Amino acid sequence: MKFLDRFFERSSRHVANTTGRRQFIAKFGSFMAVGVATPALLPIDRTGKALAAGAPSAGDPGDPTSCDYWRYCSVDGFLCSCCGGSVTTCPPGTESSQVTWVGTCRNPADGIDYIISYNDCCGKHSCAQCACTRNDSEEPMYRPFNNNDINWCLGTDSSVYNCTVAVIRGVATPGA
Amino acid sequence: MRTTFSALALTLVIASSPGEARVIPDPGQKPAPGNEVRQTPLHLADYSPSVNYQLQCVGCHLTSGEGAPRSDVPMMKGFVGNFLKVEGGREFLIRVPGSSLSALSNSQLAELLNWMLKDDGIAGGSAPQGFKPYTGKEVEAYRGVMIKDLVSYRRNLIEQIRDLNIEIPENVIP
Repeated sequence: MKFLDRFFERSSRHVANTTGRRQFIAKFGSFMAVGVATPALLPIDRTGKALAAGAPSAGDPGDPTSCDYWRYCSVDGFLCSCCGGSVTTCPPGTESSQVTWVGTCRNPADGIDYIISYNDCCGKHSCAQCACTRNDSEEPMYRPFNNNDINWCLGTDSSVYNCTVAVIRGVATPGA
Repeated sequence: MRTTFSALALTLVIASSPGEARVIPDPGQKPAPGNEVRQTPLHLADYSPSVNYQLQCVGCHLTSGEGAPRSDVPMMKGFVGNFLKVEGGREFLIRVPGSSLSALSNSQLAELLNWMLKDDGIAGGSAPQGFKPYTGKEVEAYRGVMIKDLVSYRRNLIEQIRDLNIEIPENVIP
């Protein structure tokens, strides 16, 4: 604690010796002005915010950033909608794996089973947001093509896993 | 100095815990809304061959059977029917792990193969004209017979196809 006392005493004395109040106000004012303006002027890609997790609609109920969203019934990983992407798009800077695993989920709005493919987004380190593990369509490891415990970053430049999307591929109707 | 360090460490630990907690899956998790009922196992579900292809094959062989050669998934598009022209090829399509280990029943697998080998299907006219369709019985007979050396078995079939003066595209992985 002595160290802190000494540190603050010395630094406040130094500030008092070397500055005047007017100078402080002037400098602080310009600092604030620049600080507020800079983020608005920098060329930042702001599309991510717009794409992330579209609003729920009547035919597609639920919050895509939540593990309770119906399409995530067989997902195992981090949800891209929490990682700068959306339910169907990878975050900027990652590559979508074409080789993937496919399952079905029932949409509570119409009671129809949809064919969902869980493509992994690859090329950046783990997103580590919104971990979600559901295994409704999953089969054991001896059927690797129906297992979600393996890294599906296959056929991509990088095999580093970032997050998972849930894309509707079609409708699974019995007898059709 | 030690006190400062401890204070700093404590601050970091307290500040980081809410962030870390999010990545741990919830053990008492309920099924996703609308998915409370257990799914029908595939061999009992009455899906068409095209739906079964989507559920069991499309992940690796892709939509039109173009495959993913970078991941050692061979292309089937416009070629797979050639296997029926050589000895051991007809059984190969049943015994190959993707078929034999699939969650489909014998008759579903037979239907899927026939669907795939149609001229307007994935085979794209590569199957011999008027080939005998697969039956559930035939699938049953060969499905359990494991291919011990898959790579050389397949290479042998490809060589036989090459001997018929059929061009082997690169993505078929010769």
